[in-house]
Amino acid sequence: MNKLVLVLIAGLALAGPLGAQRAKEIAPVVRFQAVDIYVDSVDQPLAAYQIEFAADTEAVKIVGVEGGEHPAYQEAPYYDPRAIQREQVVIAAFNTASADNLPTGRTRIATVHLQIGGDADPGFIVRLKTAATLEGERVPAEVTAQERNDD
Amino acid sequence: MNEFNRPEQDEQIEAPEELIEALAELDNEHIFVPPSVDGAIMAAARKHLNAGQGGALLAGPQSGTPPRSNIIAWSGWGVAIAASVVLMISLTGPNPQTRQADQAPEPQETAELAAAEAAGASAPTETEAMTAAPAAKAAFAREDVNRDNTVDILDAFALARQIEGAQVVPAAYDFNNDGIIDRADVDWVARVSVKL
Repeated sequence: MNKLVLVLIAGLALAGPLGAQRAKEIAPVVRFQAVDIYVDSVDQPLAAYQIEFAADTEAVKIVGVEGGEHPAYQEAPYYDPRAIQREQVVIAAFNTASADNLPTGRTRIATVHLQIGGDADPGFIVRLKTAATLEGERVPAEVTAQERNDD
Repeated sequence: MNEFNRPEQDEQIEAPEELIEALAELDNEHIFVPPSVDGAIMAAARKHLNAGQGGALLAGPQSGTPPRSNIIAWSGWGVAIAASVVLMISLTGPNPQTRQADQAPEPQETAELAAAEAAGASAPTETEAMTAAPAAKAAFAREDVNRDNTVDILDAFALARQIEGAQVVPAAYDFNNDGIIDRADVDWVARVSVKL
């Protein structure tokens, strides 16, 4: 009886690591990536912006959108909740504060959190739809996306 | 059921017997119109209507039965005219978006004027106002607050500034129909602008 118990324990001890190894081989590789979105309005105070963000592969799923670094844009921007679990999103925000309280130059206005499936190495397309001053006048601005490296 | 809405059990409406009898007799009473009077009225009516319609619309025993082709021709013209009227209305009539936009042009114009004045610009001349008029009549989406033919975050921004500036905001901007034009309506426009 004791021998039987020992054999069972030994079997389980061997099967555990082997099963885990097999599960690791079967399970899809998923990683998470944060992408920071920057808008550069040069010397104009940025009172409003709207951008389009998209990944070039369906292996990318958006899992969250958060606000930027400047106090005027720290709250989560407007976006369509249907963008979650999809690979594209439209992001927009505005602030009616005085010009002194608005960012100028290059500022991070939002961060998009992504789930990337498989070994995909996606590219990102980010396009500025509009950027405006406090008077509502459109300003030429540049938008860029940058993968965040937490290492 | 609310107690105030409950019918009174003891309440009975009683009408005078004479009225009840008179109402009952009403159905049985026939008003006699002599055939001569009836014929005279019909003849006068035919004469009057045929004078303006060339005798084709109202035909009877006195004018003879019109040719079938006349009836078909008139009904064909009627259908054609009705169809063209419907087509004209559908092509030239205001659509709901236009109507909404027409209800709410002034505040944005005042906002633009205020912005222009703040920027030191002079008020638009009458000629400028006249040239701008056709643009104001163009069809805009309801959420296109700044009337640039695009619904984007700048429309929400413009509405927010109008509300914060205590300007008179048109009722058409009550997008969520809660009777108040406030931040919730601004959020409504912003959500529309980012919709996928």
